[in-house]
Amino acid sequence: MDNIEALRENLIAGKADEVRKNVEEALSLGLSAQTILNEGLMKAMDVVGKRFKANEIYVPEVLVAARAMHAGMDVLKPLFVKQGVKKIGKIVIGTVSGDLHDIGKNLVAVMMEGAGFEVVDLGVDVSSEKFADAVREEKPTFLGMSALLTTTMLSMPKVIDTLKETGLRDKVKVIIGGAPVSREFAKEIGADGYADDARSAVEIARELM
Amino acid sequence: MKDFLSSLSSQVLVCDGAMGTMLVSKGLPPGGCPEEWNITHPEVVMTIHKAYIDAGCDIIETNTFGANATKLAHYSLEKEAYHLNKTAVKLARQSAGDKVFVASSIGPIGELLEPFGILKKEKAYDIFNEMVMAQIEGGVDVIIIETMTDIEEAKIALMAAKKSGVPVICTLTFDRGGRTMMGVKPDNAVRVLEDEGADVVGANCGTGPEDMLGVVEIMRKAVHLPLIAQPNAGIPRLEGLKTVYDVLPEVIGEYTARFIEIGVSIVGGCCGTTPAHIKRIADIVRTYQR
Repeated sequence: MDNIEALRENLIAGKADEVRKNVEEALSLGLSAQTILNEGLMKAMDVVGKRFKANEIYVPEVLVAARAMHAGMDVLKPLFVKQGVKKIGKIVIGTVSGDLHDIGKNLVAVMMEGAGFEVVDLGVDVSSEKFADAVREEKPTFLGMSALLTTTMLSMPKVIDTLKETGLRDKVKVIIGGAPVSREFAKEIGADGYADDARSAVEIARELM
Repeated sequence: MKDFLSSLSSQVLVCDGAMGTMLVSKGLPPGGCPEEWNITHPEVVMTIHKAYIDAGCDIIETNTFGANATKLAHYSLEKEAYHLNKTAVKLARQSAGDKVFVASSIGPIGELLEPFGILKKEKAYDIFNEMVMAQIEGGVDVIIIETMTDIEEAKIALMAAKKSGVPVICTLTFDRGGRTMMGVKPDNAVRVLEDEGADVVGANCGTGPEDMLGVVEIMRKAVHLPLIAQPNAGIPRLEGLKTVYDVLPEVIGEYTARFIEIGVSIVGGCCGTTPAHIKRIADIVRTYQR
């Protein structure tokens, strides 16, 4: 497992090329894609998430670690189907209508991916209809909504209303986050969970599973 | 018109409060472009400026926070950047006359710089430079670069702004346990900004006045430059479908006194602050006038 240990260290340090090499080595040593994913990439991203939450590292460090994770993921992806690698769940995620801010949403996407979820990212300025369509088509476990502005966070209850109107509300668990959003707001609009930051999003998702 | 920096050396100045949340209260729809209102609703923008001037502020900020080509492109207004900036300064100047300083706002571009994002430094400079040129042509007294989280981006904006010859204020937003989103520490930030030629440095947005006090204290120990503090009126909360900010004008007033006591030269407000908050700040500042 020395190789996996090195992989984790390199991922946390954001060394994408090294991570890619470590994953290739691990495969050549006969480790399964699932083991490399779980013990290597996911565990390392878990450390990154915890450090981010504790304000020990900040957005730049998370972004370079995410880049390293993706470098490793790219090597593994062709093997996922072949080796029957299981994702633990699926999340559809997006920034709500009228809001163009994507840094926080991208961090959540990266953390969820790093925790073994399949992530469908709808981007920014996502309408209620687009969220509902994605829930219908992708059948995710979770719907994640982000907003940075006090004005645009009011799009969130509208999305939940659309889900209700289209009979999709009980098909998906809704998690919300973003600077102006609070636990109370989540409760008030009938979301299932509120995530304080990207790392908490993973914790909430695991709790709600 | 008095000279901005000499005014600052002899008295504490009051800056205005929020523009964005005020525009929303006057009908800007969610997702609407605030800066477009300089053209479509100039009378509303001027009403807000005048309300702040009546409240007793010495500096008003133009409605140009997001008037950069990248952000405007989301509304297909990227070609209007120059026009919007110049128009906004003219609206502020018309409202201010020669009694109140006009500070032109420059916010973050809205994309991360390389290597963390895709924005190139040269492009960032061009984007800021376009804003600066238009604001100078509009007749601005001082430029205020604000809500920065990345010190590199702040430096690029500062470089563009300093070339204009007017004084430059630069603030960052510290909302991650006393650091910015990008991990920048207050003391390091102001030292860098001082080296790069900023005339005034400080903090805005992100938190209410309580957390900001700690940040500004750290800055005070790090540099001798004049400081500015522009807190939010707390953290927003929802009442029904209306966003409410909890920090009352009285509370902002108490903190204004504490800001001045640690040596802050300009006090104003950010998100959720209203002319009522600014009036309270102005009342307190007057009691400290030397």
